[in-house]
Amino acid sequence: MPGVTTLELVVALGSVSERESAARQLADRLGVERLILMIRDPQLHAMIPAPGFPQTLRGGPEWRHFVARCTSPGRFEQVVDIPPGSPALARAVISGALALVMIGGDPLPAELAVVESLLPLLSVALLAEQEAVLARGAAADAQRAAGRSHALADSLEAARAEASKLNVELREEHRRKDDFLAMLAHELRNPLSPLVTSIELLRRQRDPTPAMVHQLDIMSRQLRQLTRLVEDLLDVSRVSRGRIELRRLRLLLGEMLTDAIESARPLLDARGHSVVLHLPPDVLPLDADNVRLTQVFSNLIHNAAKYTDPSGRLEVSAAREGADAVVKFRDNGIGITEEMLPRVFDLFSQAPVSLARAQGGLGVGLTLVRALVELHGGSVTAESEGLGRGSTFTVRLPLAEGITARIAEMPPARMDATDRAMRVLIVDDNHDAADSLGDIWRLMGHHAEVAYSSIQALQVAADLEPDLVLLDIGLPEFDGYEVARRMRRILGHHARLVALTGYGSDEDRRRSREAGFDEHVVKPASPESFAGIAQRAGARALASHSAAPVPPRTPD
Amino acid sequence: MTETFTSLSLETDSARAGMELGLAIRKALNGAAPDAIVLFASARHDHTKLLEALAEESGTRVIVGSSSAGEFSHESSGEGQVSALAIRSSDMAFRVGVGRDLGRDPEAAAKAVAASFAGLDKSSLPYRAALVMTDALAGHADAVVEKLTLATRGNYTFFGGGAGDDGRFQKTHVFAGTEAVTNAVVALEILSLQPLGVGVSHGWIPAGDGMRVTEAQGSRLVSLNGVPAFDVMADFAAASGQKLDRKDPLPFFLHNILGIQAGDHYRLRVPLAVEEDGAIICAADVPSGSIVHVMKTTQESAVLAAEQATRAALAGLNGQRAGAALVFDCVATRLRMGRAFGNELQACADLLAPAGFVGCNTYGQIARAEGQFGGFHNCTAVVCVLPG
Repeated sequence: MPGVTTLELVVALGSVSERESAARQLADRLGVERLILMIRDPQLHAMIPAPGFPQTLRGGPEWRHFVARCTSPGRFEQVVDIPPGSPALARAVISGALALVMIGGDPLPAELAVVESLLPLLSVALLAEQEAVLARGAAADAQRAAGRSHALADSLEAARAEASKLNVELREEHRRKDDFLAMLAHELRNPLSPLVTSIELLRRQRDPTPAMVHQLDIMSRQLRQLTRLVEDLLDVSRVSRGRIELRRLRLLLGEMLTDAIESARPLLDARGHSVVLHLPPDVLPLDADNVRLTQVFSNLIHNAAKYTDPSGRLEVSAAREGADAVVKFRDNGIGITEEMLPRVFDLFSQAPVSLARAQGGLGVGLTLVRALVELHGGSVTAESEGLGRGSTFTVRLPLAEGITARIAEMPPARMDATDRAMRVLIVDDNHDAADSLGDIWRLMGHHAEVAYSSIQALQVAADLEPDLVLLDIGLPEFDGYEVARRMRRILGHHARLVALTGYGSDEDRRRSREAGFDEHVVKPASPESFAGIAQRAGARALASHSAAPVPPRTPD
Repeated sequence: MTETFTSLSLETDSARAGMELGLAIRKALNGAAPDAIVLFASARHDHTKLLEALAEESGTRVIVGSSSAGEFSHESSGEGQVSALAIRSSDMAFRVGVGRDLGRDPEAAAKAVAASFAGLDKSSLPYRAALVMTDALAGHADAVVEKLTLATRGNYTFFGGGAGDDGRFQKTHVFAGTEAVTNAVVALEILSLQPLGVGVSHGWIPAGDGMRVTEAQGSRLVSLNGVPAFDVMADFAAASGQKLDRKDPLPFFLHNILGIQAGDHYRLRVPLAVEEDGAIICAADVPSGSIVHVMKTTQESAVLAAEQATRAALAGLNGQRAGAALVFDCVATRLRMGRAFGNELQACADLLAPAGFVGCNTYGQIARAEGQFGGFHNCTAVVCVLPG
């Protein structure tokens, strides 16, 4: 090319875009048929065509042999077959990583000298370029890999979003299940009230036969068991919905344990278990909810009694450990397998036992124990050395600071209050429940009338001017709260209003208090509880002197 | 509870083969219809007749499989046959997915397959896997596994392979229900209460130095180190005392495949054919700029690889009993090993016993476990064990 110096052509070889064209012009300038630049692969050390040249060079075996020789520095020549079957003399000048290959012709010495003088520089440039090409290739690979990773990450993100949505759905399902459990327990509890009172009525029949007494005892025991199951179920549902609030009082642990053992005495005696209670010499005060913590201890004792073969041995011990009170419930019962241990406190988990040994239960008792203990800021653990090796449940509770007197319990009502016949109004849209309650209050010597609706209740109340109203909350037309408010307007504060309901949460109790109720009793009310209700109502009636005496009635 | 039945039929009449298989399945399952059937059939069969007869007699249309290049079970192996695995399970659920027009749009095909999967939504069966059979001659086998991985958010274990046609490389079919289709990918989704075990292994090692792929287009390898690919293989053949006939290169290729460097392992590529310009057509893509080696193996290492894959699959069961297995290996492995391929199958059978297996020789194998991205292999043994 006229006007372009050899030096400029060599410089042009340094540019990948001009390389092939510059190589052709330089071949002409040198007087050879073809000029190829080969560069050493930095990783493999093989000579490969420099970028910008065709990357596939179609030659025969001589050519391949020639290229293989190009790895050593210096110059040499050889007849090659590129393309195959076309022999030509090839000359190579190798400088650093670069091989200048000239095929055919006879290079002009002067021009070649100019080219050779620049080869070291060109070698460095092309090697750097080759390394850059490989690095770009590696970067492109990495970019592709990163692209794939991003795509997968996006996909996973979408999966996470779906999982999150699923989680919300599961929570909603869980909530609905809790609501269902609460409703189920409530519905199960409603029929218990009339059963309790009916059994009590039968028990008060004149001259019952021993067989009848025996049957009634069975019915009472089974009903107590059923009531307990329903109560546990309701409580679990309340705990899982965060609807239990503790009413903390300063309590003494030893007394609570003694009470809990006594409350479980019927079951313990029935199964012939012996119970030993170990208490420390010093008192262990707790700021706890008496009802709930007794429920915890009672559940653990019931559990031990259930899962220990008859004539077993139960041991309850309490001790101070630092700032905690530690209570251990040991039994020599059927024990717990290693696989079951981590799940004993899970809802609806039960130790697999044979049908013959099954003692019933929903698998909610221990769940409730854990929930209530945790509400008290404590913990509960289970240990067992395996099947047939007994179990130990350990409850750890924070001790109250200092020892103070227990909060005084409600002073006992005057004993003569119950002796006085009262006018009692019972309101429940469940006819069986209302009628059986009416019967039991009449049996207790009071004048009882029943109403099955809100409107009827208000009418009867206006006529009767009762001393005591036992009022169901879930009434048609308008509910028990509204009935209570209206009764207060009719009766003033002379009458004692008692809410008799299946709902027993703190919120339910607050609402009944605000509506004007004096007392909130959760169904099924035990016959024993009627005595207290009567005593308190009688005390008020006496105090007000507004009720005319009504002659006691005897059962028909 | 999972019941399985494996069978290998030599019957050459397709309708009769389908009918006999269906009857045998019903008999083995005490008259009940299976929940799913996996079927591999020689390209010599009329696949539609075979599938229709099988569906009719077995009582299920949940059938997935492909044409193959050799069929086998734990009892026997050969060509021109039909192998089948029937499953009836209370612990598994099955769905069939088909993605068509694979050659034009592998992503759409993968999405169509994934759209039929039930496990992408809430499922009570926690383990998700799919048998994937693809028409290897339609290409994009690598891509379709990747796209399936994306479409299923990396939550599925895939196993399977590329449909074969008895080594003719002309036309391959995949099966979905009673349909035998080309240019498609099919999958049998398996949702399971217990994990499936999948193992993958090959017994190949580099036989020479690494070479730079200086020019390639997809699966067409043009040159290595600037030299036409066939010339490189010819020089290797000469240096290692082997014979390479340009007109009939397969015997050489069966023993000399390519391995692409990928970290601490090699992605195997089987050379299938030589083009006029000296380019070699491989069974899957060879990236330009990558480093490849010519790879070698022995019959002993192939048997060892199958053993390793089987052991890995059994270990994946997490202590569950093996019910039955599916085994895939390259057509090249069978052709290379000849009668010794039976040793490989016997090694699998010994490890899986008393569970049986069926399988086939494929054009490429699929094994993508959770946490991996790609999953298309060549010359590799893939074993999937179903829990019993």
